[in-house]
Amino acid sequence: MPHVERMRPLLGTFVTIRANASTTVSTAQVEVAIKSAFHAIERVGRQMSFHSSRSDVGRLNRGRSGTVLRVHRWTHTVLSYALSLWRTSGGVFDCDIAAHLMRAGLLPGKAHSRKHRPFQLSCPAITLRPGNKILLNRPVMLDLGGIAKGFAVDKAVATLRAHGVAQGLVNAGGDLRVFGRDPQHIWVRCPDASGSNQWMGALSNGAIATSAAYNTRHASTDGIQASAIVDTWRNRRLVMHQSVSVIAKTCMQADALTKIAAATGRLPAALSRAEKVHLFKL
Amino acid sequence: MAIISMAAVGNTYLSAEQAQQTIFPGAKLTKMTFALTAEQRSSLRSRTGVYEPFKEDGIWTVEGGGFFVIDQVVGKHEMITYAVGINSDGSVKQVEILEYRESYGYEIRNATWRQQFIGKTSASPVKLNQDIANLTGATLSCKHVTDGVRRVLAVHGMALKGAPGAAR
Repeated sequence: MPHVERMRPLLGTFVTIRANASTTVSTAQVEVAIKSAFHAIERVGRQMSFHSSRSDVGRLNRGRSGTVLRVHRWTHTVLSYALSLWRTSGGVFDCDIAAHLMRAGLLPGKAHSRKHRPFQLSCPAITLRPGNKILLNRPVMLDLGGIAKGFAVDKAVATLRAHGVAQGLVNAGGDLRVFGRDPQHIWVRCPDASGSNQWMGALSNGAIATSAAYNTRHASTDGIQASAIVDTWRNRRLVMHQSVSVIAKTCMQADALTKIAAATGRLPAALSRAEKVHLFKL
Repeated sequence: MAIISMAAVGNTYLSAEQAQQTIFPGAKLTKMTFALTAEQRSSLRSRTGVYEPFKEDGIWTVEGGGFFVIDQVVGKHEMITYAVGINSDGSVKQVEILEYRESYGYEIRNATWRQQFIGKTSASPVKLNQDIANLTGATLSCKHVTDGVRRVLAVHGMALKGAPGAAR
């Protein structure tokens, strides 16, 4: 069956959507499905953008301690998973790191330096309330860059499926998810300077995401390649020499878990057992 | 060890006509003849930081207002042709990538996988052009395209808005 493939610059990267036509879904219907899927990704971008003061993230970042804000249910879902990972990982996964990235010049704006807070399970920065509400336990500077792209991919896949597409792929700058009967070949960008891509295997009905420092070289100091991932335990940006890829059921999981794998070299044991996630290093 | 090494791979997503229909469905587009003055060119360079010359032969006016522009940006490893739809109020309607080529090589180091290549040419077994969609790696920035779009908007602001032939 023919497939339709489109690419748009979204979420600061290139997003590719490929969807197959079938006996029940015509090529024209696939085109419509892809358009809706791109819209879903744009919507995630609007809600969770650090750069827009009107986005959910922008509003949360301006909120004072004790404020309760209502956010979109998608933002609520992402924050809920982020919070659960923060707990499971002992604070390694943390979205309250935008101040770090601002100081490093990886995000725009001026950050007030704040005291480093050691991980305390009983003191999360936010508390989720019913009705898509978020209570700020203290002022935050959230950046959902380590999780929202994966979530956007999942939303695009759900949109394609809702349009009856049975086989396809969504790739947001390397955070990708495939669905349908036929396995898809997956390639990984090599972390060295050779500029080559390595075949990894074939994946069906799953997601893969990769983290490496190869795009943040311009931000390096003293020739050290510091990544855009913050090592929250040591309160500095992570220096990476290899790439880590995580395969998981959803792209949000894969995307977020690469950050933990990059920082600790492994995945939380409880997660690997319970959620069928796999880690590959290159 | 390495079995495949390609000089360039890429994909064509849309032809110019398909992109026009995707961004402005059902609209009538007319190709514009248009030239920037030397002064406008140098102003563009300083305003947008994009040094490749802007090609003036990729501009269409849209019936009822708006423009359709095809432009190209060249990065360190990639060459991207893209289309921008501009609304009659000067805002961006949509950006679509028409063609994306990159000069990364593709390598296969896995022995069992390699067996499948015996007796075939290096290009035949995996559809590399298709497989660039299946590539994972740290996020590739689309900054070049963002800069390119900003330049297209600058061209619109300085020359297209009131140009002869442009629908008002």
